[in-house]
Amino acid sequence: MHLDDNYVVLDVNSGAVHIIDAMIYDLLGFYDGTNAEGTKAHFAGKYPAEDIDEVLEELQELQKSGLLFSPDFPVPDTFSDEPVLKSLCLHVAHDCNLRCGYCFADTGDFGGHRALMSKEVAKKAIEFAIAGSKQRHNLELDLFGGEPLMNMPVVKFIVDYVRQREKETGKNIKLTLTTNGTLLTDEIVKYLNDNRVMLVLSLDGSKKTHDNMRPYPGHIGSYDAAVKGFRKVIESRHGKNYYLRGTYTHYNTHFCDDVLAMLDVGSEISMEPVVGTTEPWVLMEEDWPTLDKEYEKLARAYLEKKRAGVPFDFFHFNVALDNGPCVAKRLAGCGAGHEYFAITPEGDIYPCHQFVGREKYKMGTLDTGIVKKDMVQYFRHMHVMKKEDCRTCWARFFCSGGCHANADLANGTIEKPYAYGCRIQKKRLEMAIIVQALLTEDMKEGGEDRRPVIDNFKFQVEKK
Amino acid sequence: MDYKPEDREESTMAKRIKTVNKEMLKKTLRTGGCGECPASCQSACKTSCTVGNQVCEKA
Repeated sequence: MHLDDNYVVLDVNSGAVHIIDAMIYDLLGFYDGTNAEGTKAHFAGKYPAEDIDEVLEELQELQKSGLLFSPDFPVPDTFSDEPVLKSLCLHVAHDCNLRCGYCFADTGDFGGHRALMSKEVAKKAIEFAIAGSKQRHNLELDLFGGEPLMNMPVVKFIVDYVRQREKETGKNIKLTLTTNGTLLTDEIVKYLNDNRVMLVLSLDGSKKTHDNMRPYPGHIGSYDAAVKGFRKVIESRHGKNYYLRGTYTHYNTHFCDDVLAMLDVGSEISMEPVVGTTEPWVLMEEDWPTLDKEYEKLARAYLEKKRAGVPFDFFHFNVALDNGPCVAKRLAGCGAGHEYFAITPEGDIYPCHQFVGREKYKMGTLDTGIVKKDMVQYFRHMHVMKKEDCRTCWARFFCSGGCHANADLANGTIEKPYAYGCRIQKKRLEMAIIVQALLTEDMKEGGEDRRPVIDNFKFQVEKK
Repeated sequence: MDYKPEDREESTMAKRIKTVNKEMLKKTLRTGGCGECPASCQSACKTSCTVGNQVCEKA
């Protein structure tokens, strides 16, 4: 992989990352760990023989150390047959005060009727999560929708009840809430801060981009109201414990401009491609060359700002080159349908928030429990080593097979990933690995450590 | 200046290649699997953590 004059190689099976130069990059397009003589012959005349020999010697040393051309290793099908529940997405409101054009929830009601979760259903969902998590110390609950702040009494009930049950069970229950920001009053901001609720703040970029896809009913843009709320909450929590999260579409393929515009509001940023099928805002094949260049542009901007000490965190560039997850985790996939579920206001259980409304994937209810046990195992076993498209893909230990819901939408099955999503993810990962390699090298060469702190989105409590 | 043996080894190696990390995924077959790390939602509607953006909870 490369960005301008920066060349990097990832050894897939070990996870080792090496910074190389243009000549080595060229050689590695031919040398496969077994064909040294062929490589010498192939490149004779292009590079000095002694340089080729020197490089091959270094590559062979790395290979002997298990850091390059490391072989595939056998992995068990899964690491245990019985999953442990890690997180639940609570659809606190199947309703929303906005009418976002791309909303996969059909502007809030998921294709059903508008509804708010009751305290009774919320309590059952929390108990379902606690029981399902067994001995696991950590448990994550996401408050989602629609717009969860439309059901503030139940949000407060959930938070209060969770904090009580945390003390009783000894578990560490992490709360996250996703919001469009337009309903963030001072009182709500204080409540969320006091109760350590991480926030995902939906902002698509510049005012023009945001208002185009995220209007109120009547086509009035929501940017001003959203940003007012976002600035308030970000300042109140001293710039921590949140992400501004944007969606780019066919209408703003130059999404790097929108990411940089978001820096006017906050420095913790995430930007992702829209999900869809045939809608006018869906990303087209013709958009790919632009998107490809935009990820490179973003990587350059990220490096420049990081090296200058400008606060800027781009979520998907946060790849830990050391201390990343273990193989078991990398094979567990996203967790949908076995470690992670979504609960609707009525108490129905789905594999994840994106599957809500796709009736064949309804797995049970909070009253019946999960009845489709076969479906749990089906999701659990559908990981990268089982999928033909994934098995030999270089990104397989980073992407964990892509989004099942996208795959189902694009291909009618979770067995085949959504190809466009894979392409985007791989480009993004290339840029992430390159920038983190360069920042690590800067530090090793005596510079400041500008690498991002990666902490699995934990609420950082300020020390007084 | 006296070189220790490990210094000598490093000085003859990797003149052109800089190894950034020495992640060894295979060894985590034995050491990993505790299950304490979060789920890795991949989807495009909330910040999808992806497994690539996590760290081991035990690190």
